[in-house]
Amino acid sequence: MNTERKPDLSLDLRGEHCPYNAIATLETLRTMQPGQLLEVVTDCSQSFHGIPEDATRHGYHCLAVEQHGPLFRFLIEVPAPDAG
Amino acid sequence: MSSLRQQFFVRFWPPIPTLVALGVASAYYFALTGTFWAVTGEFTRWGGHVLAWFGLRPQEWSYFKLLGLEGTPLDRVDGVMVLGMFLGALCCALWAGNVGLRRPTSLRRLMQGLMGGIIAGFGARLAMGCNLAAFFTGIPMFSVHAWAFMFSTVLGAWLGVKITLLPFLRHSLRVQAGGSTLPDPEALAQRTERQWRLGWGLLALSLALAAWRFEASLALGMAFLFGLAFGGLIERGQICFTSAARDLWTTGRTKVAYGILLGMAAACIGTFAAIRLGVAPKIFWMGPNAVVGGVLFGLGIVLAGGCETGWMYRAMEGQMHFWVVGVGNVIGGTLVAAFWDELGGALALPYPKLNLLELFGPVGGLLVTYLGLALSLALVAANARRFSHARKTR
Repeated sequence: MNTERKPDLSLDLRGEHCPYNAIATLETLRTMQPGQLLEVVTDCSQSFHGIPEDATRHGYHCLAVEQHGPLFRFLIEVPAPDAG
Repeated sequence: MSSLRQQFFVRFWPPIPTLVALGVASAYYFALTGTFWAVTGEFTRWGGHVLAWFGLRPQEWSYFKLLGLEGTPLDRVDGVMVLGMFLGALCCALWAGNVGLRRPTSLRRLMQGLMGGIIAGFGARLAMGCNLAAFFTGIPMFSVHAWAFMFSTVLGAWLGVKITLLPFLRHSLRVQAGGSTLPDPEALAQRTERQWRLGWGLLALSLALAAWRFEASLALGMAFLFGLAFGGLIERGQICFTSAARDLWTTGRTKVAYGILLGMAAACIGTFAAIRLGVAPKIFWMGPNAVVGGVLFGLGIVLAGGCETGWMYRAMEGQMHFWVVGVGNVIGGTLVAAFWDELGGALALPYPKLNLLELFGPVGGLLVTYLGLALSLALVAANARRFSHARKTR
């Protein structure tokens, strides 16, 4: 846990529900550079399945999905251009 | 033990197997109680009870004669099942330490939830069901109206997405550099432990309630137990029918949609067996009401952020937005009851109740249903291709 990379940006979605969580995550990822890491924090449990599925489908790498009681945290990486 | 707890009680279950389990359970529920797994009819009865407190006589309205408004929710199969769903969802949310008050972000969002809830409740009752009775448990009744409702819901969801993403309903993004601070792990562990114990206490209480309902009748006791299981399963799997319809248009998600279709495939053979043994299927009018209701329902659930089953478990987790959506649902359903003579007379009652098992014969009807489900699976898969690796094509 302590050895993980520090995210470049953090998106706070607490209190917000779908589809805004998914849309906001993809919108933020689009503004980021290859190799950068985004942290998403939400209290909407549905995001647990949705955000990783969306991130993968849109070509990003979802590196971590964590549950902290009623909070959920995701780490998503923008892949380097030559990566699949 | 602690890894077992983490795996089954904390980590959410994958949606596809959870939905197949729900499909199988719903078929048993139909065979045991003679009715399908449904919730909005009961919500509408609650609206009827509230109107009765204010001196109105809803039991004389034609819609409540159709639905039945006798006794209290505790004397009705639908009533105890809905209560069971709330308790089952709450138990599971507590075991996961996932209960916490989530405040809505703005009043505007809350009003959006109320409006969406009303529209969805109205659409659902107009079509004689919701994502359950006119969809997930309606298609396994072999009622043609459920097919019309399902496709109309997907269409309505498209309209809903258009409205939901309008600039005046968007909030500015809260983005900051670096990571955010998470709750203190020790305090979180204590809180989780408290909820874990509370969850077991609530289960004990629920089982006592079940025993009390078994005293009244087998159907009531079973309905309550199945309610606990339904509520628990939708919370554990975070089963969101709204996402299945909406995200065909937004991000191209497929898992929940596949799960729903496979769950119905699992349910169909069970309901078919029960019907062959003499349980009467619930078939409704294939009129414009199914199409209009489906479109309104699809629009409403996207606007609200959750459907009739979706708000139930979210409300139990403490998502305050969905308390309001639930109230909206009850209002919407009750509005249909109030105007049923005009609405039903024009849009539903003159039209036939179409049963696939009668139209095509038992084997033909079953075959048509499975072909329809297979075609729907293929459509979901084809649609998802529009979104795959969208980032690269930009």
